[in-house]
Amino acid sequence: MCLLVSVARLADAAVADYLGKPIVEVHVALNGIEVRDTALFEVVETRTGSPLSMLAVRETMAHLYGLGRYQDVQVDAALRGDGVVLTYHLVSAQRVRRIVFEGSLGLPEAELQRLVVDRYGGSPSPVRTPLVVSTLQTLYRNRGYPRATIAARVEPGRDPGSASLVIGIQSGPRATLDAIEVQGGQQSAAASAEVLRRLDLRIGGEYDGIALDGRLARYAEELRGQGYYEANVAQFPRFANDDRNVTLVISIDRGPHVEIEFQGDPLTAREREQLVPIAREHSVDEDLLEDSKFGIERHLRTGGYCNPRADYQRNVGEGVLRIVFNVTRGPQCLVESLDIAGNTAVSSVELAPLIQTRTGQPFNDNTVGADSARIQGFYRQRGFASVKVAGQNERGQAVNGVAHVRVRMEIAEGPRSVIQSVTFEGNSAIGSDTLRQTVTSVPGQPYFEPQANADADRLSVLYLNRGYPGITIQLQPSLAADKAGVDLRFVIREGPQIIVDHVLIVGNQRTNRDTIAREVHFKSGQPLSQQDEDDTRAGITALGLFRRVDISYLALPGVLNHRDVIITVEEALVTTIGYGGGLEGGRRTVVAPDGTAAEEYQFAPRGFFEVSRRNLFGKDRTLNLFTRVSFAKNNTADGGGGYGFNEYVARLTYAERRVFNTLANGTISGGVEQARRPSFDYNRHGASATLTRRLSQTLAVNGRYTIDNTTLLRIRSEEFSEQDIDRLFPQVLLSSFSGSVIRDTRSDSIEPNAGSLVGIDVEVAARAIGSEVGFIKSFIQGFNYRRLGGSPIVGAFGGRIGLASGFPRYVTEPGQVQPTLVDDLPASERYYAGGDTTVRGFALDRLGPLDASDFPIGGHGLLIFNAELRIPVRGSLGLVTFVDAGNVFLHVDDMRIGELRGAFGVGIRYRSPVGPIRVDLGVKMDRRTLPTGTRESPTALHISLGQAF
Amino acid sequence: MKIGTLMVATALLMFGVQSAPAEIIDRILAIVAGQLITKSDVEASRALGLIDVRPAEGQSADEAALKAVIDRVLMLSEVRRVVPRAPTDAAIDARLAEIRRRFSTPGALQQALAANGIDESVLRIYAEDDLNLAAYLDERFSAAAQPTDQEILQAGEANRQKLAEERRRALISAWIDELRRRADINVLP
Repeated sequence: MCLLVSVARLADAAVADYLGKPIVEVHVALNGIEVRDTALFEVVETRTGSPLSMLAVRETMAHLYGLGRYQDVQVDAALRGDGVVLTYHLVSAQRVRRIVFEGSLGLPEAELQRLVVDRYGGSPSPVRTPLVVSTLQTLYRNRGYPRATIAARVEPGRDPGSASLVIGIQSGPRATLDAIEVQGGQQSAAASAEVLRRLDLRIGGEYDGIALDGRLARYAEELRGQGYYEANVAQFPRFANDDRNVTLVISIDRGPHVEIEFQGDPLTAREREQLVPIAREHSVDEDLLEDSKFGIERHLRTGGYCNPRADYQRNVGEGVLRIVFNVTRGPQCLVESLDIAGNTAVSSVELAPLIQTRTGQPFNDNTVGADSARIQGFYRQRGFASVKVAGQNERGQAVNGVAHVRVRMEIAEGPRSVIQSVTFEGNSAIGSDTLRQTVTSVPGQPYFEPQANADADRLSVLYLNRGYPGITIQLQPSLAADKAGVDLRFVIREGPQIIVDHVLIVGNQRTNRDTIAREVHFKSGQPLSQQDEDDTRAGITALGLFRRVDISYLALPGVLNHRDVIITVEEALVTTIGYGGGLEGGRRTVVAPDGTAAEEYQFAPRGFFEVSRRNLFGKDRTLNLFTRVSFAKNNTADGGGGYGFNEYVARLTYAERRVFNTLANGTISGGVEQARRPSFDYNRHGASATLTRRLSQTLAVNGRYTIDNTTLLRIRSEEFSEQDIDRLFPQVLLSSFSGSVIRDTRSDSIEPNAGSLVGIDVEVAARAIGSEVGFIKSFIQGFNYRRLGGSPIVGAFGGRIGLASGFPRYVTEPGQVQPTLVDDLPASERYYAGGDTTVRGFALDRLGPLDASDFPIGGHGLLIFNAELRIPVRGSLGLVTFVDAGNVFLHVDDMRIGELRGAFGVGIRYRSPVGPIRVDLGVKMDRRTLPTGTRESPTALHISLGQAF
Repeated sequence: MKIGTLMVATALLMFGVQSAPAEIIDRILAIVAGQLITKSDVEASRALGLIDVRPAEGQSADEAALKAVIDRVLMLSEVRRVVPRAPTDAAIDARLAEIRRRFSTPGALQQALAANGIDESVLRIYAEDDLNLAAYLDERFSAAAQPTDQEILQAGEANRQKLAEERRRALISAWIDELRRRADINVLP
């Protein structure tokens, strides 16, 4: 490295002296010091040995600037012999890394930081310094410091590329109130004083306009709550006495007290509230009243009243505005007959499925209108571009409040237009054959304008993906005189094809460039494709390392059709910490004093702490430590109670995308866990390694190896000491491989309202791979979610099947001669059912085989089916009704549909920021007598987070 | 880096190599809404007559030229936003002929283009930009700049053209000021 002393002078006509001469040396200097960074030389277009061209110089300047690291690029040239020595002088771009406030601020620094970062970003351009000052000046004035002096400067940091924005503030004293006048509202002095008290205003008090705005808004809200729906409250401050004081005018316009009255035919309170939203909207303007009138009439028409009226009157009295709605339902109308006429090209049978108006049903002209629109659309798709459908409704005399309506839909089909030819004009880069394959409109097909427009869009996309960003496509259909034939012409203006010159990645501080470059679909020399942009953006965003990804194109001076692609990333926080606490509650199985199982409601505080470190070593690698602990009641077999930290998890997970440069994502996880089940507690420590490969947006496969050691603790079921597997292996080492396929088309993973989730999982544990016990276990699950009939109600349906079988093994117990055959799964691996996510009429694990003391012992077969209606009620609140069925079977051979047990129930959902909070009450469809002779409890209550399935 | 090495390297560079003094052949003068404006851009605009350089008081010709190029960039970005109707090839050829007439010989034009790193295809785009800009300014400001009958009465019919021209210039100037306010403009020292 050496120091380059710039002795350059500005060349005028001298450039011509260098042009065309061979370049003998190229240097790059950063802040006066020569650099030999190969990445920089990659973007230098002026190569040693080539004749000097200003075009190449200009291109190089653009590339260097596009790197985003330099604020200035200067190029100087010097003659050496017959050649030219070129030097690019770069000046580091100063990025503001820190915003520092100093001086006497008067306002909280956090507020100032927030304002500047929200408005100008965390790293504002030094060019924007005057705007930052102006924004702060406005804030200080509004907060009562009109005399604040604010100055900002950019101070270079230790690294030449970084700088601090130092904002010096002398807030000065806050202006005080020297006069306050309350205008409007209640005129008496006492009333004005009360207003000032409510607004916390007094002569001599300090003025803070923003805080006062908040208090005024609350006061206005109170007035609206009292029926003054048009209340308007505002402040008008005037700074006086050299900005030392504020003369404040508070304007209160309460407007009239609004009373709403309904006369005529009755509406329910709910209908009134929904259809006349005056209280909700805090307004009584004419538009809202008109909307309310039409809303009532529409609502009544939907109910079959064919001539409803909901006229309103505004009666203004002394300070009171009375709005009277006079509701007249009119006669109830029923459809007497429905005729369709004028259709010759399409039969009435073909049209029938499009019509929702039914004979004998309430008449609704909105439904008739929608039917007409559907018929019209149906015809247009078949080439009848000028089709008209007119609904003619003939109403008979009302008898006993009921009138019959004869509905007739008169269809004027018009001529059918068929595409005669499809031609393309103006295309030179893409042949007409390729374009023809892209469009769906073909000769002989009926002409349907939306379809032809969609074809034009398809052609645009084709061009955009081939690097023609300026593409315009005009659809020009020419109808024959009889309108029976259409010549379809796509007029194309291609514009220039744009080629990718360099791909420059900017803004990555910690992240390795290669990690980002792997996701880049653009290639130098290839057309600038829209699809490549979309894929690149999606790929980089999916890394999860950046809070912002921008892709822009830098035009190169003097080169018409080349662009540098500049990918600018803003890195997200590397370390994130999460923690939280809560209370879990529900019906749990406990040991009764006589040693049998009983149920009681238990509540346990729990908390979690999580720390994640992303972007390890600049690669897309993450390390996560998750811990969770519950302070729950001990539930020992001797009936011992007391509380303890008897449920906990600590798990360390390392994740890496595209592991070993493959398309798979890898995860290695290890940890300890202790948990309570009704019949036993267990402690498990182990590790697993998972590889996941996403085959498409919705389909993923994964393979996993798991090794863990599980110890049963506090065994409450006597059956366990009798079952060979649990007696011989109270502590068991399991080593297993598993694989799963998941297809997930759900609209949302937390609260889906459409789509489905299907998964198949198979796990094999075998002694050959180090397991003490061998088994095969499979689990198939499918869930479907859909809106019912276009309503906001979501139907959720699910089914789960679990099948397991142990590999036989003979174990000789100490002191025994005959070996014992073991072919069951250990207790911790068997299936259980009952609880908030399976069959909700039962407490956790209480569905299925029980021992003599009523403790669940689990089984090798599992069937669960669920159906649930999720009904939004208001805001974040929703209701559900559900039916669940399922059971656990000792062995797969025992599985019988007839032995499923059912439960139904209702639940409440509250959509919180952390997911739906759920309360479900399940009721058993049949209560049975337990092995100890007691009857099952009829219900189970569950409180938890997230949907049941 | 050791100071000794530094000094030797400096001495080598300054005295050890028989090079003529270096001259700045191009540099970034300003960045306007992310777009570079280089010294060669400004010189090309002057040479080709794309800008009207009228230095204000206390302003050098170079400063005035840079300001005019910045204004042109801002205006063209607005013009492109509204997707102008493409001028005819004949109109572009006519504008190109005007530009060519500024040079005594075709060789002089080629020399100016080479010295500023542009070629004939870019020159054609510049001509098209000129026409688009003129059409946009006409459409947006000419009608609005027409004087009222009252103003004509006061100033006289003979001054109609002058009044319209002055007002058009004022309207365009106000528009450019607004464009400048909205854009991020960084003029390098």
